[in-house]
Amino acid sequence: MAYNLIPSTFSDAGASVKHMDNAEAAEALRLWNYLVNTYGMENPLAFSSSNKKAVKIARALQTEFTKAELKRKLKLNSLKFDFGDGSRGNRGTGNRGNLFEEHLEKSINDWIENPDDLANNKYKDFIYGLVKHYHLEDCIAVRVIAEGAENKPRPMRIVSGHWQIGTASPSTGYDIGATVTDLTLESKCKGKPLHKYYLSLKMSGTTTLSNLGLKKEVFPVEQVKASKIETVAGKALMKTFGLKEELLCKTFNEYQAGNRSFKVVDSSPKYDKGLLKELIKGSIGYGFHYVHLNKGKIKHLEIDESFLNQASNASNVSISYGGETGGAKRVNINLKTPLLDMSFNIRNTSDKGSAADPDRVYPDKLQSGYKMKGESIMTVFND
Amino acid sequence: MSNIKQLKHLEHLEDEMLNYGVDGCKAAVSFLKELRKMLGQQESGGFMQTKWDGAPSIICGIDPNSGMFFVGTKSVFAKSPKVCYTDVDVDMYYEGDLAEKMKFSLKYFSALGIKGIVQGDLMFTDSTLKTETIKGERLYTFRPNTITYGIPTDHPIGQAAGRAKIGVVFHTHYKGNDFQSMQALAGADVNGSTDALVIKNDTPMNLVGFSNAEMKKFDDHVSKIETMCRACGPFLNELVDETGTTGDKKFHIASYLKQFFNNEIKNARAIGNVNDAMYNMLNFYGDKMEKELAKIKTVANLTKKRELVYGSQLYVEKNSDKFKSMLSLYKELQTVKQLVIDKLDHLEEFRTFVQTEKGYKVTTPEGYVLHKDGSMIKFVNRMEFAYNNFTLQKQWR
Repeated sequence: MAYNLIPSTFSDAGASVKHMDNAEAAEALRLWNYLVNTYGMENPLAFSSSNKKAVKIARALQTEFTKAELKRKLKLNSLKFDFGDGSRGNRGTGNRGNLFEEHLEKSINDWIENPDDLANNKYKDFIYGLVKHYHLEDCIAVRVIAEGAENKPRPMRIVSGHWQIGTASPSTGYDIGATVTDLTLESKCKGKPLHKYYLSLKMSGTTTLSNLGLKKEVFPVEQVKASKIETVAGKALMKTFGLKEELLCKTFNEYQAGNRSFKVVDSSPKYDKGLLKELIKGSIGYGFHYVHLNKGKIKHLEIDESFLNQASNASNVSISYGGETGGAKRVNINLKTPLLDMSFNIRNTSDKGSAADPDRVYPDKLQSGYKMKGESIMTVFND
Repeated sequence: MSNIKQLKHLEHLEDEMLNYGVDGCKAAVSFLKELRKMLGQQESGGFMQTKWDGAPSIICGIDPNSGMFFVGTKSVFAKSPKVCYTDVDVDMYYEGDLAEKMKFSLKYFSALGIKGIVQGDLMFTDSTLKTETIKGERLYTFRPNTITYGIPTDHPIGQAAGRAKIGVVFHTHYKGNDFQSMQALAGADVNGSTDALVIKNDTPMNLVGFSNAEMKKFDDHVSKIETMCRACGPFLNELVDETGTTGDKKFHIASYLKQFFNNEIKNARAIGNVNDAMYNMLNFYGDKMEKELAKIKTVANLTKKRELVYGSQLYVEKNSDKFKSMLSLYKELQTVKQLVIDKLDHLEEFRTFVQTEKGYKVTTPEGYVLHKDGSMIKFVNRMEFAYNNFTLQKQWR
């Protein structure tokens, strides 16, 4: 059943519900409107012309609410819905990161054009905050460059026993501003050379951390099935988090066997402090300004080396085999640092099965999110 | 000129020259000439509708995309439209009184067999319809907004109102395949039911009694306006070019002319002596600029903007005769408009009042809308309506 109707206007959404009965159609349009208005996503739903009862909600919104919350809030009594990207993959032009980038770029350009007229500027509080933080009161903003689309991938690998994420590693350092920037602001202060401020934009939700495909180099399906992980990266990842090989493999093997109640929580795993610090430092990096949009408001702060050093001291590491509720084909790792809480998960995210894993059970991605102290929801790693 | 895509805001006849320069002025003349045909009982493609001071403005009908019946306000045309197909949708977007009225609309209008999409002003629901004796007359009364309407209880429409659950004036219909690109067109062919009273709003122009002398007076005004349009035309265009809300234009006096005229009406001042009007206009502009300049933080920018304001004041001085001609033209348009309104006000069968501290005061209908070739323009006694609007307390909006 192909969910290939992905409307990006209300009119298109209307046309996409024509095959549904009135009760489901009205609820689907209510849901579409709510998601567009609340999360700024252009095309949050996917419809199937052969399913009169159900829609798929874009996975990018998965961490924003539970299905039960949504059902209750919008009184969705007839419509069936689940998370899924339909036939869009993650390639939609309306993905939220791009939208936020466009809006912020416009706001900054308006500011550059009319520096004294911020009254109607959507993100004026952010701009005032930026000026204050970097003491730009007597400087001029020269231009803003949108670079989101050109971000370089940051593959994650073990090199000589150390984590290297993109170019960031203990030997090369963690200044990654120019790599992770989405918008680069150039400013000129009197008597000083042009300075670049790298703005890294974040939206709520989860995404794949770097390019760590687990299936080949880390946790090959056959090795998980045999409960014996032999790859260098796989062993390193287990060592980093203190994952127990037996429980890790059992999580997925039990699920494959039909067991939906497997759950083991390890609240004091023997993790490798040094490797975990490298993993966190390489993932977050420094040398940029963190700009997080949540429910229309921006939280922002400078991520410098001192921040990163503090933010990478992990404690309270806890591993949930089978997910938080148990019975799921995933392993969750939660940890805290003095400046942020982090969450990693190892799971299958593919849309179709393979010969070795026809049911899409075995892990193929390491996903992650974090929230700064004082924030209520996780933020994506936007590489 | 006033060719309306979606009916969100109608323009006043005299404001067209400020919106579109000489073309706007010509359009105003063209509207007046069409009106002349209607008053003289000649063949005309135009027609007049009486404006009803209803609230809220309801848009309803069949969603062209989903095929479902919906209700909403003007926000159905927004980029993120609020379209209600069910009572749950109404509760998502609206609350209180407005939500109740939307639910009534959904329930009773969905049974009217509306084809396409129409817009109307809600007049009453059964809980807001009262029976009162005013000036010795037994009336069904309702007050949707500022004006209180009264229909004699023995009038056929009054009797229908007494039985109805909801009353509405549908005045516009829409054409198009989606909400964003719909085009508003005058009139709405909707018949009521026992539960939903649909009040027709065509103004009976055939009943207007213009004497020959009045007709001549009207013609003289129009002819004078036409001449003034030609004389003021280039200056009007110049003013339109200088009008804007951002950049340097934000500091030009041209950008404040409509606001000035509105402010005069709000303060119950008619354009009488043009010298006095010029003086008031400059004072209004000065006050506005003082507030704008106070927002500027850097010295360099403040200096630049002060120069713009000074330049604008010099511009008025240099073009004072042209400004006076423009003010005279504006006044002339207001005069001819009022001539017509005074006649139309006598046609109304229903009573109109405003609530004052001392009880009901008789007032005129809200105004009229003239339609011609798909364009529309409003004829409103702005002084009277603005007085009512700004001075009298409202039950709700």
